[in-house]
Amino acid sequence: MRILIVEDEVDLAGALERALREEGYACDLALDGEEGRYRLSTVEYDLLVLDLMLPGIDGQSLLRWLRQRQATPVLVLTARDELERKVALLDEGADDYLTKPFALEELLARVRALIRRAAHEPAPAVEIDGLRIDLVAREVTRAGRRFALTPKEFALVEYMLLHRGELVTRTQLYEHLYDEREDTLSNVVDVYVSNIRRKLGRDFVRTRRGEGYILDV
Amino acid sequence: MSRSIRLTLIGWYGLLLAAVLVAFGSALYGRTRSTLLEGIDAELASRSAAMVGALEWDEQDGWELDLSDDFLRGVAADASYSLWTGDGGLLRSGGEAAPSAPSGESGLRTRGGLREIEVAGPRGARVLVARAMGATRERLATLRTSLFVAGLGVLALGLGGGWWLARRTLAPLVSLTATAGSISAQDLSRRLDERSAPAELEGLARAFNATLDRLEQAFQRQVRFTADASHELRTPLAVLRLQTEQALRGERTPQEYRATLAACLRASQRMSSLTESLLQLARADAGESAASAEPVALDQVVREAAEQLRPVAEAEGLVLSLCCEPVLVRGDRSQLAEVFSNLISNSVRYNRRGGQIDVACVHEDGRAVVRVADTGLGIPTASIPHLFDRFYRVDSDRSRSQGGAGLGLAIARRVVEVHRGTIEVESRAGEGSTFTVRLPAVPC
Repeated sequence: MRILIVEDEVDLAGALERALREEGYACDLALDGEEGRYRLSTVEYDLLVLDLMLPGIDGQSLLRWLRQRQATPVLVLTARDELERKVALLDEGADDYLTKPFALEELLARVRALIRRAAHEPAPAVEIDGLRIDLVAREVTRAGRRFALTPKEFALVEYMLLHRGELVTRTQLYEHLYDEREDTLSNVVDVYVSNIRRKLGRDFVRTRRGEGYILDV
Repeated sequence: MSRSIRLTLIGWYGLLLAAVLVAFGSALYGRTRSTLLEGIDAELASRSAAMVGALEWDEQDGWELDLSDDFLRGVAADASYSLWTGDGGLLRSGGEAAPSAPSGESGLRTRGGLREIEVAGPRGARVLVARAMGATRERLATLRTSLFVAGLGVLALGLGGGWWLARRTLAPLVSLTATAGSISAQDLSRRLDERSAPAELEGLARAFNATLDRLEQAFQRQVRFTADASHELRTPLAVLRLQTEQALRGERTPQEYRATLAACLRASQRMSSLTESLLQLARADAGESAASAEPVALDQVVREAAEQLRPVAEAEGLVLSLCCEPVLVRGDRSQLAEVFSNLISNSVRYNRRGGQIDVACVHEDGRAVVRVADTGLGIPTASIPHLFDRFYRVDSDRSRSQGGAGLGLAIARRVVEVHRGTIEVESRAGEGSTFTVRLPAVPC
């Protein structure tokens, strides 16, 4: 899952980015509205974390701009807690909001919920062929036994799960699991897929030669 | 309980009405009484005169009364009469309780419930005619009673009418009071209806509405200010919380901890400077009375502020020139110093390398005028009207990264206003700005 943070407060954005990375999300950072708009028009993000008070293009304008083009879930960070502001925000296309200062736990929970909702996956844990994939604890278990997955590996499992039954191309996986800071080659995806197969079982994802991967329901 | 207008009104009204009724009743009663008595007296006089006229002395026949028996019976029916000869012998008498001897004094008198007249006749004879007062007294008593009852009735009616009238007159006041009472702090936008108020209360309603206008504005300013202040504090608080929570989620290297602590320090510094600014603003707001305190040498204040900032300006490659002539104002020295160091540090902050800052303090037409002019970035025309607003930033990127909360100029304006002065700005984007502060000067 790839997340864009648009936040001009460097210290806030940095901590947010580190926390999301540690959870296994790919994370890009834009320090003003202009940059945010550029990134949104070049990359397909799974979630946008948007601060309202921005230099240049402010958060609200960016939100309006985005809503005419994409359905990307938007979590707004706002320092204002007046009722009218919140209502206006949601009515302009925000999916959720958090009032500063907020607890990191709450932000992460809202991020998870928004990502699940966007993928039409309401259940926080899904069972496939005896494998239990817990999107909240971010772990995979079989009969109570926990598989040791790295955050990145889990991110791949999560992405495949939320797109199960669909053909997922290698480029798509690469774009949604890696941010611009991680300077890797796209064949790293193949390595991760084989790692996961080794840990979770040969048949966890099927390869469609020359096209990509698919997780059968 | 305080005095009620309605009760006062009715009290006075009742008192006046009662006085009028008493005066009217007494006059009526007195007039009736004297008319009745005069009638009796006139009758007594005419009867006695008739009897005296009818009394004759004859050498042959002695005393003779030339009156018909009918007349005498008529006199006796009402009261009594007595005739005495000159030597005191009773000649004739009739009616009840006729006195046995004359008193010897002529004239009208009242004696024992009787009104009587005694007159002298020929040859020392005396004539006395009396009449009982009982019937007249009864008539007068009845009159008194009816006057009293009628008076009470009129008074009661009058008081009732007065009550109704007072109620009617005070009704608009009561309804204004009810409306005014229903206007609470949550609903300051409501107003009294000035048009439907009677002419006498229109002024009151207008004055009340004007007070509400001012109150509502002050209230809105307060609400906005509080919201802005809390908004400004929320961002550094969010930084503190997020940085620490993120760091505590796992083991970190010393460098990572150091970075987290540095970020927290920056956030807390921002909060301190914001709190300091808010305090200054609150002090300036509260300092209305302190403004006329002590005489301050404004040129010295300006010079000190400029000299303090000179090293910063020179480090930025700026030329700071200073031109001061002595001028005195009244006020708070430290607050005024804050104003000028704010203006000068803005000129330093929003300037270019090699730029110029001119600070001048002069005495013009009885006013102390301080100009801070720079050749800096200038202010966009659209921003000028909001420049002195609390928490207003010309460009949020520019000032936030340099730690400003958008309060410096708001503080400056507040302090200058409290000192009964004005602050103005002229600016062109890209060419520079000139801030002018004018304060009432004290003669040196």
